[in-house]
Amino acid sequence: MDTIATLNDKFSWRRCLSIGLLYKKSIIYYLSGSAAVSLLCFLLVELVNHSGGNVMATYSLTGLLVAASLYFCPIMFARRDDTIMTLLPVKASEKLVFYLLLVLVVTPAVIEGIWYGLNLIFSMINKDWDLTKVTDTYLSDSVTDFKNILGDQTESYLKISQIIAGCIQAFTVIITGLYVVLRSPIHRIVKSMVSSLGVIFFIMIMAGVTGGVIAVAKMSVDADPTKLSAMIIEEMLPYMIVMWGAMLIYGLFMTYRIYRLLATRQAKN
Amino acid sequence: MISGITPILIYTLLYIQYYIYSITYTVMITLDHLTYSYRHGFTAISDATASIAPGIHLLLGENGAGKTTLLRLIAGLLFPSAGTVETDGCDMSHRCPSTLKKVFMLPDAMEIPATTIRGFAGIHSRFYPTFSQETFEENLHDFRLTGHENFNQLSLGLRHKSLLAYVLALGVDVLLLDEPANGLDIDSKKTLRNMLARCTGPEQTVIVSTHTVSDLRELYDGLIMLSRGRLLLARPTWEIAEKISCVATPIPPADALFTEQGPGVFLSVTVNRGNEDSDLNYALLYSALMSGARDAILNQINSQTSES
Repeated sequence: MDTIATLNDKFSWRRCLSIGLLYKKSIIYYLSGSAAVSLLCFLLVELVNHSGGNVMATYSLTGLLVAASLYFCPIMFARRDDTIMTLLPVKASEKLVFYLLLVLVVTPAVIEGIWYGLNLIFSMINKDWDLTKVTDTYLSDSVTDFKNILGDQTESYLKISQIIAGCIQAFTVIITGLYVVLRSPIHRIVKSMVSSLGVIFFIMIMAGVTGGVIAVAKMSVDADPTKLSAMIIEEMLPYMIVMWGAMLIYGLFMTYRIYRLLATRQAKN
Repeated sequence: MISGITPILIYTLLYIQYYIYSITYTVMITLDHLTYSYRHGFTAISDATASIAPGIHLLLGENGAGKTTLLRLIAGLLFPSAGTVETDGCDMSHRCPSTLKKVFMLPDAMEIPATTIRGFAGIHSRFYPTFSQETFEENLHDFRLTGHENFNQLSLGLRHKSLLAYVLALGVDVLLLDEPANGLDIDSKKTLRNMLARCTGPEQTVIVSTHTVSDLRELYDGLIMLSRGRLLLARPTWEIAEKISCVATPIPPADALFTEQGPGVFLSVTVNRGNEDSDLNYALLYSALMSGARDAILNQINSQTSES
């Protein structure tokens, strides 16, 4: 049997990755469950698309399920008893890197990889089956509006910022869930899910309030309702950038809190 | 002439080697003004100072005396409010992997991230280079376990046996056992006693916190006694036995420091005037140290220590 070197106190990737052995069962269960959800959701959307049903409704609903399986992934680290993990001869930084790798790299790679991988395979088989194009068709009016108002350069900028915003949002939500699941003494799974939902709702409320204020302000200036949504988004961008910045800072702060928690974790009294 | 000197030289060299080994590899637990207070203000351990040498130590104290807290502090599961606890010269609150691999604590209840104890051993023991698969197999055999039993479906006693079979095979320098005989039947307690004697090397320190002192009586090399968070005593048993005697007599001795009536006899703690080793009655000593005779007994032990 291989023994993990515990002779020196420097950061060790071997020790770091070996932590996975202690979560092997829950990681396998969660990742296979999430992969199955991602696969089934994609196939459902494709089925609805092929049979001429309401793709957007199905896409939105299944998208929620896939997002939930991604956002709630820290629950795979929920344990009733932390004694084994606390006593383990592993550095706090090694534990932190392991948790971050699992929730921010491995799980998104599995869930999103299946979704986009299947999309790629399907689009290669039949170009009509490319979900991105299908959803774009449904949103054609808004897309045309954006193109008209923002121009090509701003559109690509918008797309990039959407990806960055998605990543920052996922990071913020997942890191909050991870902190709660490692911090809470009891009801860890429920608390972690509730806190992740709380962050999502907070982001939605903040975006909604910003958009609402801009909409009210713009309606009084320009009352053209066909272009209003695109104009609101354009106006919101600077505010959203500030918000994404704040979310990123919050996420990094929570990462530090997780490190401190792992380094100074004490037994339950 | 040369042939006569050679054995002496060899003996001297062996002694020097043994001495170097003992000072290099002896892991000492050092408590220095160790204090632990809970957030709500209750002080569980108050200003404890002691050095605990290798051997099997009995940790005694009334309910709520701070036994589990002390074990958790030594294991690094709790951080002191004041003072330090060091193992092998390393502060446990730093949680260095090189120190953590030398220490393990088995609490009275523990969840394992595997279905069977073998499965758990397969993943967890990789972090402990001193683990012995052979000893683990032997321990399982002695407890009449296969190691393939579903851990979650086992009774409390069987779970405890599985965990004991594993932790005693870890070979760590400091092993902390909280109520190890809890839930074990009479035969299993005997097996545990033999197992503990077999698995504990001369360089290892095992601290056993228990209320049933008779289970492992013959094994103890040291006694640690807590009362209401105060460390009353942390001494090798031979040192205590040199200074006090536990005797059973039909009439209480006139100079007894403490006496209680047993079945047909009086059990007393007396001064060991002859400095002869005597068997310690831990239950009697516990009662004595919990009574009004505590100061007299402690003074006796301490005064004789200073004289010697």
